[in-house]
This record gives sequence, structure tokens and C-alpha cells, in this order.
Amino acid sequence: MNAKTRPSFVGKAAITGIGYTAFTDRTPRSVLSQALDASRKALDDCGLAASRVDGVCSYGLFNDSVTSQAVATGLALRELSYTLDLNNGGSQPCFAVLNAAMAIASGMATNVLIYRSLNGRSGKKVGSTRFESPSSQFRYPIGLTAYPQYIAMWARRYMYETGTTEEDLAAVVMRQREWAAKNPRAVRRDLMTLDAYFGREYVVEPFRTVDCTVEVDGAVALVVSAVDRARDQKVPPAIIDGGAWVTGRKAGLDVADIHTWPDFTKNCQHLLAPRLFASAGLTPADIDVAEIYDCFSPAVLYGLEALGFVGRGAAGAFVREGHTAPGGSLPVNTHGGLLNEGYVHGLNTVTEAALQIQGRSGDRQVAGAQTCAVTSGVLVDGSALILRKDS
Amino acid sequence: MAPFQHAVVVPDEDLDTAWFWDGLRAGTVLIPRCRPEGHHFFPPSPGCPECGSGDIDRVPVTGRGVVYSWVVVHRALDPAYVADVPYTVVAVTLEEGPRVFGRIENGPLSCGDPVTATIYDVDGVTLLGFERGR
Repeated sequence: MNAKTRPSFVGKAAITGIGYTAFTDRTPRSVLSQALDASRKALDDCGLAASRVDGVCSYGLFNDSVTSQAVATGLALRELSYTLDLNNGGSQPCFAVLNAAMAIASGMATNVLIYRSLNGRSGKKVGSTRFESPSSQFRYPIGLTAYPQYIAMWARRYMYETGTTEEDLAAVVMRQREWAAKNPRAVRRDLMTLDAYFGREYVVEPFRTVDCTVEVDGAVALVVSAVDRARDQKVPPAIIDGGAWVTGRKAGLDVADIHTWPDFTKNCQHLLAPRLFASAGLTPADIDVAEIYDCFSPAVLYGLEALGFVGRGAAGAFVREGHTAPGGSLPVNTHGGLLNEGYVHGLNTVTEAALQIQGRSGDRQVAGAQTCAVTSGVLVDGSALILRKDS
Repeated sequence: MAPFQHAVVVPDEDLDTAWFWDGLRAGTVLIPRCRPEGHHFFPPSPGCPECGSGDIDRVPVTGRGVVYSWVVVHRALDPAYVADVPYTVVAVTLEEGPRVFGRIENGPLSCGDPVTATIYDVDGVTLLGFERGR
């Protein structure tokens, strides 16, 4: 993409209806059952008849989800003109929405249903499932086996180079708990003190249990509609005003390969930021709310620096000073983040962004929120969106 | 058996990587290097990630490197390693350039510390690890 040209999909589509199942630690329901439940709720939310849906898109990881074909069948949808099943996990939520917007802008679809469903606690756990891949033979035999460890390896280097401390990681957790306390959906809602943080056990240094997202069983769904159709629905449209994808150079052989990535102190979001803001014709100063993918606490610090909200190494102090907390100058992860609301793999971060723009975030609503940046992915590839209130 | 590792998940060697594992079993750490421009890289692949060349040589390393990063695992996230915790995995930048990962004894570490490659066996599997110093 030419960074000076806004892509043709911007302003053509909007997020409207949103649906959630409960987030639990052991559901008696199947992944498909939860996908259908969240999808029905999203359609009901915006008053869109199932017969009007002509596209379905989703994403999973390690075959932990259900196909768009199965969801379309379970909802008795009509013949579809567009489906897409993505398979790269946390880098995909914003990308799924972007693809829907592209399908709509190109005329391939009008109303696209997007869902993410997983029994991520009682079923297949992204954080500890063993899976074969080209790079797994260089990780599993030495006990480098899971995402908390890979991201901790990055975080240790980041802390070394920037002077970021465990107190800064604690601040991310504590600030996001302040948001989570206002979110009835959040699994972890208790406020956290610094002493309580340091009382938690290490999973993998420097990460304690509370630095890691809480895995849940659950599903989230949303509707993306052409802007003119969106305006006829029951809820305000959150206009898709910008977006980008990136796979960095030397991204490696698979979703867990971190051998060749040049710099553990910068992730895909550093590469995404210039084209994200160019796509929307905005700068970081124009953003009212940021929803930053946070499978682990330092991801928020990387994101704040990558998106240009603060300089290198300044994110920890920014969070400690309260700027990202309720009442702060840049509210961040207003649902409490994946750390606290639960790990629905970042689609719940996208839906929170839409709710803020729609003015539907309840006790945690940011007054006057006109623009929101939301990101997906914290390693070598990822995506991002800018949502804007309808004018 | 190394004191820091009591069990192993057997590596799923493949057509692109079997020679690396054969090298370890023969007591040599071999890594790929593209012939046209001499880029060392890792893991083994039929394409050089620096220049895209498919003309790949296999060369021994000096074994010298420096710590790029590390983690200390306190909770085993794979059942094979329950008896090992806490254990340390280090990311090492080899003198030749590529980054590799391996076990190292628990203890103080800092980025930039010199380390040396070592080869060890666990349950009949030969692995690459590291020791502190030169």
C-alpha cells in the first residue's frame, strides 16, 4: 500500500451489532453452540434479519474453532457470496473486520457476520497446546513450549534495553483492573495493589499469573455492514475509517517461530502504525481511546510506543502515572483487556472498541469518544483498525 | 544426562532439518549458510531469509555467542518438563549472526553475557545447549 493513499475500503463499512456469550471456565456447550449463540445475539442487537447476511468470516488457531460453513448452516443462512476462515490466531481479529470491509467495498457482500468461538479453558488451550510446525522441533525439545515463554523472552530484552521494570508490568495490570471493575463481563474484576501483584507466583519470569490473559470458554460476534445499510439498523454504526495488516520481514516459519525476528523490543505494531494512521488520515493525537491487544501485560507497553502515543521506553511511566486508566488522557483497554475480561482471542477487544464508538460501554464509557485505535497481534504479524463515530 | 533437563519431547526432524540433528549426534553444531552471499541463518530452511537464495551450504559454528535474552520457567506448560522447573532457556546470538535457543544452568544472567555451545543427551535425544563463559 502506498502510505500516502487511503485504501478504497475506508468509510464504506461499519461495525453494528455485537453479541457475547458468558465467559466461563467450563461450559457444557460446544464451540459451535457458542458461536451460534453469540451470532444470534449480534444479529438481534442490530435488528438485522439472518436472511440479510451474505458473508461470514472467522479465525482460529490450532483447529480450535468451527468453520463459517458450519455457522452458516446452524443459523440457516441463505446462499452466501463471501466466506473466509482465517487461521493465525491473535493477529487476525482486526484483519477479519478489514476483510469484511474490503468485501463490502468491492461489492462482494453487504452484511458480513464475524465470530470467534473457543472453549479456550476447558478445551484446547492456546497457551499450552502442543502442536507440530516447522519450528517446533527447535522449541519443544528444550522446554520452550508456549506463548507465555516466547513473549517473556521478548519482554526480558525489552526491559533490558528500555529500563522498564516489573513495577511497570504491575501498573498495566493494576490500571486495567480499574477498567475491569466496571465491566460485568470481566472474569477478573478485583482491584489489585502492588503488594498483591508481587505476591502472585511467576509462570515464567518476568510474568506472574496476572500478567497473562485469563483463558475462557466463550464466543463473541459482530456484524459489519455497508455504511448505508448500517444506518438503518438499531444501533449506531462504528465506521471503519482505517486499517492495516503487516507481516514483518523475516517473520519466521510459523506462528510460534521467533528465531529470525530482528528485534524483540519492537513488534508488528511498530510496522503497522505508519500505514494505519495514513489509511485514516489521522495522527496519534487524534485518537480518543486505544484498545491494544494484550495477551500479556508488556504488549500494552509495546503498543503504546509503537502507535506513537509515547516515546521509546516511556510507556511504563505513562501507565504508572494513570494516563491509561479511567479518567486518564488516553483510556486504554476499557474492557479490562484480555488480561481481565478473558481471552476471546482479541475479537472482544474489537467489540469493545466498537461499543466505545457507539456510546454503549456503560459505566466505562469514555465521554465524547469519537475515534478509537484497536490492534491485533503482538509478535511478527498483525492488524489494526481505526473506528470513528458516524458524523 | 544434563542436570537441568530430565525429559524431552522428541524433535520432529524433517526433510529440511535432518542434517542439523545428524550433525549434533556426530558432535558438531552445523548451521545453514547461503553460498551466493554467505548469510548464516537458523533454523535450517531451503531458502535464505536474507537474500532468498536456494543454494545452501552447511557449516560448523565456533560455538561462541552472547546472551540476547532468556526466560526462567517456573510453571511447566508442557507435562514433559514438570520435573525440570525452575529451568532457564536462553536466546543466544551466535558469533556467525543467527539466533538460537537452548537450555543453560539456572543462575544470574544478563544480556551480552558470553556463552559457549554444548551438546548433551536426554533419553537418547541429542540437543544443543549453552554454558556460561568462553
